[in-house]
Parts: sequence; C-alpha cells; structure tokens
Amino acid sequence: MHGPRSLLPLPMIRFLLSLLTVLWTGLAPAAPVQTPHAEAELIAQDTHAVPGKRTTVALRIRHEPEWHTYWRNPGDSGIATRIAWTLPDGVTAGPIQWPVPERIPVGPLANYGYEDELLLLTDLQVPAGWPPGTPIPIEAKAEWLICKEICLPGGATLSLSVPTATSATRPDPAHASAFARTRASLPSAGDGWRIAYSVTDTHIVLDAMPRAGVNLPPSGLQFFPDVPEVIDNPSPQTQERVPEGLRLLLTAAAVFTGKLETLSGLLVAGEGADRIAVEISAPYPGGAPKVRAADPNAQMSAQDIRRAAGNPEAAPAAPDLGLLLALVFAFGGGLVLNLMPCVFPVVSIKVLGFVEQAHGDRAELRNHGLAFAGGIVVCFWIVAGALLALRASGEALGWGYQLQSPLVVTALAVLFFLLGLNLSGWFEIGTRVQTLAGSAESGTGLGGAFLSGMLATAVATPCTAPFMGAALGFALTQPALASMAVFTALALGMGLPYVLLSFFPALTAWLPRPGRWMETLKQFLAFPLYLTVVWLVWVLGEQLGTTAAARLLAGLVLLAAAIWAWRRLTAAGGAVGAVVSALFVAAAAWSAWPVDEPDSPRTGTAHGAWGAYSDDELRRLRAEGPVFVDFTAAWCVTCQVNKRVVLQSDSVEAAFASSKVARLRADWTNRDEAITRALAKLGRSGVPVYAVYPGGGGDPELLPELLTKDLVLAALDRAARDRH
Amino acid sequence: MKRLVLAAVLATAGAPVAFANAVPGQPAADFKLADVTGKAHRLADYRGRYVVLEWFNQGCPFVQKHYESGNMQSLQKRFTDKGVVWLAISSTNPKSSDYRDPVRAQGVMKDWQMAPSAFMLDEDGAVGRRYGAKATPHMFVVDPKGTVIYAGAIDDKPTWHAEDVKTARNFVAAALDEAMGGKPVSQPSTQAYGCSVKY
Repeated sequence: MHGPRSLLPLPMIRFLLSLLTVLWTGLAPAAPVQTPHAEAELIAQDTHAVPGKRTTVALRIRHEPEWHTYWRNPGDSGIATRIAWTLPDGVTAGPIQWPVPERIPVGPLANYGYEDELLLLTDLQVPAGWPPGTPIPIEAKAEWLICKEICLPGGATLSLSVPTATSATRPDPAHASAFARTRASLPSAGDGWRIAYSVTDTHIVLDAMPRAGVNLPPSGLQFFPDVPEVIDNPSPQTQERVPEGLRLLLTAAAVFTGKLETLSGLLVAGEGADRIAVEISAPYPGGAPKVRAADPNAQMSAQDIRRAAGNPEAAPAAPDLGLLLALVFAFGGGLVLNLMPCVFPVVSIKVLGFVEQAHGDRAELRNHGLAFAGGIVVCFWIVAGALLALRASGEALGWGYQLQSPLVVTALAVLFFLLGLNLSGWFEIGTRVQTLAGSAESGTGLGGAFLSGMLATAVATPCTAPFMGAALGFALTQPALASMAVFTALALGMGLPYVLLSFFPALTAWLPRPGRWMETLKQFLAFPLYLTVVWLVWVLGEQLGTTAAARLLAGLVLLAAAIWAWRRLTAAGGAVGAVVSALFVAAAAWSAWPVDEPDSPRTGTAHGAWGAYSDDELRRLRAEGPVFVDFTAAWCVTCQVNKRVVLQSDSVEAAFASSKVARLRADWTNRDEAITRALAKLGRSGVPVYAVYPGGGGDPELLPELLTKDLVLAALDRAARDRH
Repeated sequence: MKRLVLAAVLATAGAPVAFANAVPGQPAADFKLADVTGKAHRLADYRGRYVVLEWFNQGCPFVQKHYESGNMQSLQKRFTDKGVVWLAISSTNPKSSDYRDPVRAQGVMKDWQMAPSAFMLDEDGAVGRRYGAKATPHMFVVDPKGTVIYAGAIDDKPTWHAEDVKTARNFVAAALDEAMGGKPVSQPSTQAYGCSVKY
C-alpha cells in the first residue's frame, strides 16, 4: 500500500483514508471512560453526518450520586467544564450548548452545575466536500472539576468516529432519549422578551415581560447570571407580579461595582415539561446597590420595589413575608420607643406609678398594665385610622404631622406644664391631673392608666425611631388592614414592658419600697417635664416665631397664676376665687392660643452653608455635583442631636467644604408639600432622613437615622469619589 | 439600618452568623484565631503592617496547583521577607474529609514546606464567613491601616494546571507591589476561583 500517490486512483485513496480512520479510532476508544466519580463518553446524536450539514455530538458525563460538575458560570466556586476539540481540516465545532443548571447550595455558598447524567451538546459543521462514506474522526480533550464535599479535577481525552452518508439522518436509537431529554432542557433564545434592570438600595431588580403567548408561573422564577459576582448566589430570589410580567429581586453580590454594560443569563420558570427557560440579555443601567449583601436572607421592602420601578402607582401585591417583616420591625420599633427621648418623661411618670402600685392589689396592677397597653393600642388605632382616612382623602401626610400643628404643640406644652406643677407640689387637686399619667387611684385609676397609655403614644410619635420609619412607610402604602396590623404591632411593642411588669410583679421587686423618697423622686421628675415644655416652646418658636413662643410662655405664667388664685382665694370665699381663677385661665388661653401669623418666616430659609430645600434647587445643584440633604424638623429630637453632634462638628464641616458636596436642609417643622413628596419618593414618611444624591442622576444613598461622624465622612468620601 | 436590626433580631433568635463580605475599601473585620501550634493571633495586632489572608485546603486541586508548583511558598517567602504578615487560614469543617487536626496540619505545613507567618484553623468557619471566603484559594490583602485593599483570586488563570502559574498574572503580588509602592491597587477585586470552602 505504499507507493507514489499519483499512481493510485481516487477511489483507492478514499478507501485507504477510511481504513486508516477505522484503524485510528480503534486505537482511541469510543467506549465510556471511567474517571474519578464520573463516567465520560463522546456520543453522536444521529446515525451519521451529512456533508455540508451540521451534526450534533455530546460529551456525556454520568456523575456518581451527589457529585456535580459546573455550568458556564460555576457560581461561588468551581470551574466550568471545558472541551478542546481536535478535528479534521474543514470540520468546525460550535460552542457548548449548556442545559439549564441546578442551583447547588454548599453551606453558605451556592454553585451552578449538574448532577446525574449530563450531555453537553456541541454542533459540528461538516464541510460540503467531505467524502460521503468516510467517517469523521473527532477527539475531545475535556476537563472538569467534580465536587461533592471535596473537589477533584476530572478530565478525559475522548474520541469518536462519526459515520457519513448523503442519505437523510435519523437519531441514533441508542442515545435518542438522552438527546431528547437534553434538548428539552436547553434554554431558548429570548426573542420577543422584554427585559429591563434597575437598581435599588439593596437589590438588582429584573423586570421580565415575556413574549406574547407565554404565561409565566406565579412562583419559582430563577435567574442564573452569566457573569460572576453580580448577584449574591445563595440569596433567595423574590418574585413579584407587575402589570406586564414578572419582577425578580436579586440581592447584589458584595463586590458588585455596578460597572457592567449588559447583564445576561438564564431566566428559568416552572418545572418539568412546563419549564420555560430563555437566554436573556439587556443593557444594564449601571450603578451598584448601595447596601451590599451582608445578609443573604435580607428582604426588600415594598417601597424599595416601588422606588425601583420609579412608578409609585404600580404597587405590586405586597409579599406576605414583607408584611411579616414589617410587623417584626414595628414591634421592635415600639419597644425601642420606650427609650426615645420624647417618651422619657412619660416613662418616668409610669415608673413612679408602678412604685406606688407595687404594694397594692396584684389583680388591679395587672388591670392597670393591660389598660395602659390598651391605651397605647387604641391611640395607635386612632392615629392609624385618621391617617388612613386622610390618605383616602388624598392628603400627602407624614408621621409626626400632629406636631406640625401649633395648636397641638401648645396644648401639649400646657399639659406638661400642669403635670410638672403638680409633681412639684404646686397644687393638689381631688382628681389629680397626674392620674392622666398613670397613678393608681382606684376607680379613676383604670381610666387614668388607659389615658396615660394614650398620652405616652401621642408624645412618642415625633421621635421616629431608627428603622421604625421603614415600617411606617410600609404601613402607609399598604391596604388598610395591613396598616392597622403594623400599627397594632408597634403599639404592642411599646406596651409590652408595662404589661410584663404588671403581670410579673416579681420583675418590679427591684423597685425600691415606697417612702419619703417618693415625694423627692416625684418632685425631681417634674424637671424632665419642664424640659419637655422648653422643647415644645422652642418647637412653637421655630414654627411661628419668637412672639408666639413668648405668648405661650406668658400663657403658662397666667395658668400658674390661675392655680395660685384658686388655692389662695377659694379658702377665703369660694366664688371670688373661682372667678379670679377663671379670668386668669381665660387670659392664659388668649395669650397662649397660637395665632398662625409667623412674625418671620423661619422654615425653608437658608442657614449658613445649608441651602433651603426645593425640588428645583436640588436639581440645579445635582447638575454640578453630589448633594447632601438633611430632612429635619425642630420637633424631632433625633434630628437635632444629629445636627449638633455630627453635622455641625468641625470634622464634618471640613469634609463638606473639601469634598464640595452641596448641602440642603429640608425643614419639615411645618407642613410642606414639597418635602412630604420628596420624603415619599425616598420611601419615608418621617424625619430624620439623610440622603446623598449623586451628581447628575441615579438613586440617592440613604444614611441611617442615627448618624455618626465616621458614617457621614465615609458617605462624603464616596460621593466625592463618584464625581471623578 | 433595617438590615442591622434584622441581624440583631436574628442574633437574639440564635441564628448563625450571617455570611458577610470583605469588600476592598472597607475596614477588615478583626478576628482572633489560634495557629496550629496553639499561638493566638489577632488581626488588630498586625495594624501597621500589610497582612495577606490565604484561604487554604490541602485537599483542593487548586491549592495543590499553587503549592506543587512552589508558587505559593515563594510568594509567602518573598513578601514575609518584606515584613508582610501572611496568614494561611483553613475554614474546613472538622466533619469534612478534608479536615486535618492541628497536629496533622503541622505535618501538611512541613511536607509542603509552607512558609506563611502562621497557619490557623477556623473550625467553625466564623472568620471565613465574616470575610466571605468562598473558594480555596481565596486571597485578601489588608493594608497597614486595616483596610481591605484586595479580595479575590490568586491569579488570572482559573485552572488546576501547575504549568499555568508561569504565564499567570498574580493579583496578590500585584496588589502588594502597587500598595507598597504607594500606588492605588489597580485590580482590587476579582472573582476567586477554586474549590468551595468546606464550611
């Protein structure tokens, strides 16, 4: 068979070629190759290939139970399986056609890969000039990582001889079912699908509007990203229904920088034969979520979703988990309310009440605890009911609004002043005003406990405790029933300590025994109340100016005079004392009644380096660079503490100056529609809120309600860096 | 803030430590671990020096690649000679077949001629979880101020072939050289490759 090639006729050459091929393939086995924990084989889909057409071959990996190899994006660890082809001239191989992978949890991580039987399909293009009848020798050098608890490198050099003929092909019966199964699990091209991404504080939001005629199942939608380190792989993917399709909330990977032009991957919905799997790809708007995935179980609140949608109207049905979480937050928020500065005076009064009651009747003590909690709950219900009613009538309202009314501020100042005078011993009256705040007089005691519960609530509301804002914002945007549930949870959280104390008097055992010290304590407790009055007068001053504050103070003095007159003169002759006292009260009312005529406009004005907030001003400044907005109010103690301790500190002032981040102050002391709207856009309904708006566009970064210098410095640093 | 509260709620409910991440530019979480000889090390003690954290598992082919080629040992020597603290950490769960107790871990260290400043076992995986160590090897570089300046892969050749070490761009060496030369780290974050950490 050796000889000059020219002497041999063409058919002879073909014959020899095919003989050689058979010999060659005989040397390299087409049989399955045993590798660690898997069996590998190269198989062909059809009985033969046709010159000029494509034919499909597959690398088949049969994993031992629980062992897996990896998808094109392996997830948190692992390596995608690779195939290097050695093919005759003219024959070309396409890319691996990856079936839909499984998400494989590995401890706190997640991988994307395959278990059991896997076929990695590859199309081969056979040149038109290939001699029919001559088999095509193909060789694949495959490499994979196979893991269970431990990982082993795997791989094999596999070969196959694909027969050729010009007749029509048919599936090789030996492998037909395996190929059919695999083809069924291949994703289809996402033609006709509309995909859009957006970014929220915590998540990447994927909106999928399927091709006409495709109905996505209501749950179980999954996104497998092509690119690593975009989404946090083990985090649950939450699904929402939106008017045109489905929305998937993807927790962003901690290291995701947002610098990505397109985001592509697989979208998979449903199970088994009904499974829909499409390859999707869409331009990514840029930007990484501000809060990174520290907790893979973190959920997204309803307003985040709505903000992500940029469309407050398209409210998705709130997921049950969202409501549950809001209830938990609300309950925790209620508990914390007891520690907030504006509740403190009332708490101190309550403690005093318990001291008086600790030696009394246990059952009555319990009733008092329940009545107090009941008062809290009812007060929250009243507020929630009013809020809902007002919301229904289309009012843009926010939490803390009641202190935006000068009349309410004045009334509270008067009330606290009277309570203070009473505690100081300035007057004693038959039905002590103090019962309002929870004394244990029998008969009126229960009502008093109930009222003091309500009072505690009325005073607590302006101090939007950190994280309570979110629950409230959630409640305000929810159906009435959900809102009421959230408010109830808030109330129960606030009332819990009192109920516990009253039911388990053992807990009150640490309270000292009653005695002379109680009078001392009572008198001392007047001072927090006077301080509260000072604060309320200042709030009124911020609202209506110094004249109004002075009139309120004068009113308080006249009120004290009325009490004095009552005590001095009723002893001499009842009628005179009553009349004089009533005159003083009338004068006090006239003086203190807030007249809505600010002597100087106080809110919305610039203070030093801080410009006054308006939507236009924010837009103008953002065109030049990042803007820090301080949403604040005079009646918000947390806001004032943050302002004094952090925002006005030298280091923060210096950082503002050097970072060239513009400053705006949105003063919500009085009701202001523009600020209410701006807060709503941020998903909040109360202050404080601190927002850093990046220059140009993009979502603002929200800082926590309790600021620290480091926090603000870091935020300014980030903002300044983003502008370069 | 919400998340913080949620975490607090979970913590009181006795839930396990959440999987967090060390992100370049952020402060590195402090930790205290005993090395295989029993000596305790705190990250904070090394403030003022560069610290490399190397997640290690002798059973992982990707780790073997860098030790069989001598790549990891030479990096360890090169940088510890320059005053860098190199901490090799194994977060392998004692239930895993890849787990080696401190005595046998010392054996591995000797056999492989490992040359880190210390080799420590993070048996409950707390440190690995706090750093978000996903793979072996997963590398972190902390600067003298305690800030994470690099997190990710050891190099740009995600294979288990020892010969690839020669042509690979080593991200850890690049980060350390740049930072020590007063330059910003050009690639502060990459996708770590390797076996999953056996938590």
